[in-house]
Amino acid sequence: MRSVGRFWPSALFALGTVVAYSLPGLDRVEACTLWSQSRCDAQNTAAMAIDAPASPPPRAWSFDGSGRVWGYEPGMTVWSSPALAAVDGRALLAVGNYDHTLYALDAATGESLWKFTTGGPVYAAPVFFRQADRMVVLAASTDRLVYAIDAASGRQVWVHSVEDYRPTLGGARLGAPCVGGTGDSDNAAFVSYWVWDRSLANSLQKSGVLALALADGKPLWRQELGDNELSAAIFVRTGAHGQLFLGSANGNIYALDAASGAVQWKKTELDAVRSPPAFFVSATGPLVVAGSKFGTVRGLDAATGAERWSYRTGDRITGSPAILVERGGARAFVGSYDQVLHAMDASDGSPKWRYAARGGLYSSPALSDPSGDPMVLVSGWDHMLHVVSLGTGSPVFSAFTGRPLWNVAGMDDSNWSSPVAGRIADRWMAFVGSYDGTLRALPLGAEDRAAPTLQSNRLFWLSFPLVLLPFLALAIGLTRRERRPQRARSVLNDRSRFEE
Amino acid sequence: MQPERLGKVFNVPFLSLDGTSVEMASLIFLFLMVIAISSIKRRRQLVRRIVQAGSFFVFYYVVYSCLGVFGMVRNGLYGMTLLGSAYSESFYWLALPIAIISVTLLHGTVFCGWICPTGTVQDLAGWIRKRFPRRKERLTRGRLIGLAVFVAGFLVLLAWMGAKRQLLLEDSSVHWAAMLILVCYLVLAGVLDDFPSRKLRLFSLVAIFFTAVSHLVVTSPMHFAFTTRDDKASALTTLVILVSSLFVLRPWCRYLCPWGYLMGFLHRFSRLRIQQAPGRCTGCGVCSTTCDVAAIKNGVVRLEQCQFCYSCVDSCPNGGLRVVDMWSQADEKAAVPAKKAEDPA
Repeated sequence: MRSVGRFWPSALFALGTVVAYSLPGLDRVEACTLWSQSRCDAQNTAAMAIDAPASPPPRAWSFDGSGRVWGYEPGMTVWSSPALAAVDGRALLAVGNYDHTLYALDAATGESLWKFTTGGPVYAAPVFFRQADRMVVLAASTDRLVYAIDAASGRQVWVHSVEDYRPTLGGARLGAPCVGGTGDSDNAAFVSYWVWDRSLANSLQKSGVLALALADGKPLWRQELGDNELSAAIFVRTGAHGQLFLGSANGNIYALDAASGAVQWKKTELDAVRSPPAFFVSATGPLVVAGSKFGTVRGLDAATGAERWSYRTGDRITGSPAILVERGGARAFVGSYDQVLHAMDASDGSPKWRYAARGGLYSSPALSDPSGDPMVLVSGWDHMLHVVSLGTGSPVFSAFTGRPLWNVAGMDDSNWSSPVAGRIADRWMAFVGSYDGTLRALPLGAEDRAAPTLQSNRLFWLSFPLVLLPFLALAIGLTRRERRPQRARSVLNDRSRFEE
Repeated sequence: MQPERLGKVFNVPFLSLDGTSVEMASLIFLFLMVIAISSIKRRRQLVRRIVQAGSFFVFYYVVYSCLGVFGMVRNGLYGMTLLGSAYSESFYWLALPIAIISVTLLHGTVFCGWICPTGTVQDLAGWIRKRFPRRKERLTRGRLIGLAVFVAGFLVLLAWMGAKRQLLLEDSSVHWAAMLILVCYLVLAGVLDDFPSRKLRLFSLVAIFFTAVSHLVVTSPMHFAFTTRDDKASALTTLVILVSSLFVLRPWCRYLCPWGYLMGFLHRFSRLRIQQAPGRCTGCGVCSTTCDVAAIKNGVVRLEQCQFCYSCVDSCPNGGLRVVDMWSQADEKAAVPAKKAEDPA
């Protein structure tokens, strides 16, 4: 009897697991294992399960990084998108900031572990790679340098410049690096860059992708791609060959050979592609999914760039699509400025569900899996982090993440920080670097979620009298000024009549 | 300079973005067509209406880089900031404003009178207004009630929008709608005069310039029509322009259009302008009543108001108004003293 009693629960559990996993739509989100790309993996899931026995159970925390507030300029952000890794048994969160610093924080507590100062704001998401026994973090800064930093100590391992220094060099915008290989093994970091020099003597505007050796940062190849800002690249290995996919501000999606940097194909979109595409292998072959500011998401054949499907949202798309690969197929999730999070079949672009927010959705979505109930996380211009059920698109909860430091509502030329998700000690957390200067960690579990905060339309209504009152005063002033000489003239006429 | 970069300078303004040449090519075709056909006198006003409808079609289906008057100012400034760092994107944003400015300098403000979609919408409402007999310009009781209902409706719609969704500064085209209602009401009530209030367009230009420099995006009136985006604020502002046009002809062009102010300023230096033909004006006033923007007073055309629609030229029974080529006149004037100097007699 005893043996039978042990057998049936185990058998039922095994059977239940098999049935659950064989039903379509009941998949658990497969979190990536190493944050080697801007959104963790080539599917842009931005979610990671971290084995961190030395970290305490995670709790909600915030870290204020708004100490130095500069004027806004297009393209700048406050925080970069974060990246997660397990380092020495602790969950480490690496994130760049506009104060020129790369911060490493304990993801469970928010405690600052180390920080590394670069020569410019760090807008690009950091990534990690393993080198022998240690974990190394790669950070691309706007000082046109790529830094490899020991994740445990915060010490520099190597540094390489994407463009040689010259006194007149205006600036640089570097995309998040991605780790891959020029051959069979991962031996390179690929960094997209855009540099310019506005001086008449040294006029320079160029962009491209640079491959750096992971071991010492020496350049392996360089491919120039015009004069526009480039998104971060994603690396995928199809068979023995590595491929890179990235977008550009002049509307191109490029596929490069990771071994040589040669352009394999180029697909021209109708508007800028601000964020890296996503990649997955569908039943019909590998697909690249990318969104553009024209508002269209396209599924492209990864081998040729031929369009397989397209899906039109109502407005600009500035974030990357996130893809959940299931056994029956795959689903893509895209946030758009039409205030809707769109879920579609990633194989043919057919719509699945729509979630309506109260502001344009600028971020790339992240996928998380709190207790087997998968969720999609996305940030929007209603200053909220929206957490939505991945299966149905119904809202789970939303949390206020702060107003921007500058009033730049609607500016879509900045790739504001996107949320990421991480599981630490069996608890899922969301990490959001908000444009109010604060980096937040929010629990995603049902018992300790952040309470939603509703926003008012205060600034909009306040600006009404600020515009209307001067306008009215000016209008009345203009008419009075026009009438004054007439009145003076009529008085003069009256006088002359009186004198007559 | 590298040869391919020189080539890019010529190629890229014709590309909306890398690889697409439809947008600028279609607009330049539109401008050239207007320049060519506006000089044909036969049934010119009918042709103008057809061109306006066609332009609306082009803006609806083709143009993407400019989705309204505010966007054109903002995008132009943004394009200028990209000069020296990303030429192709810079030309993409600058191409349309530069094309419009060039056409204005060459051929007067035909963009306002023949192409601008906001002007077309106002003309549509103005056509309805002209069906009713014009009794008085000032505020009558009927008009007062009509305006009161209109203002109440505007406020209700605004409150409804605020309740439905987050209103951001991006939706501030509604501010311009409120300004338009205010100025129309006060002009009709006699508190403000029509002509001095035209200078408010400069205020509008400064305001939109300020928002553009501050990296604030304000969507334009009519923006909602040319995008798939759900832009209720822009739709409400367009509605206000439409309804205001039932009370005052082309109110947006008269009082608030920032681009209109710029066009009016440039018109002073343009090649073509409409002028009185000497000795032909009988003072009948037909031109003044025909002009939708009241740009003619005592047979004299105010350049900063004129929208080059040719309706005054076409309506004058005595041919008292004509289009003058100022640049060739200036050449002739310069040539006359030279001839005199050559002639010993």
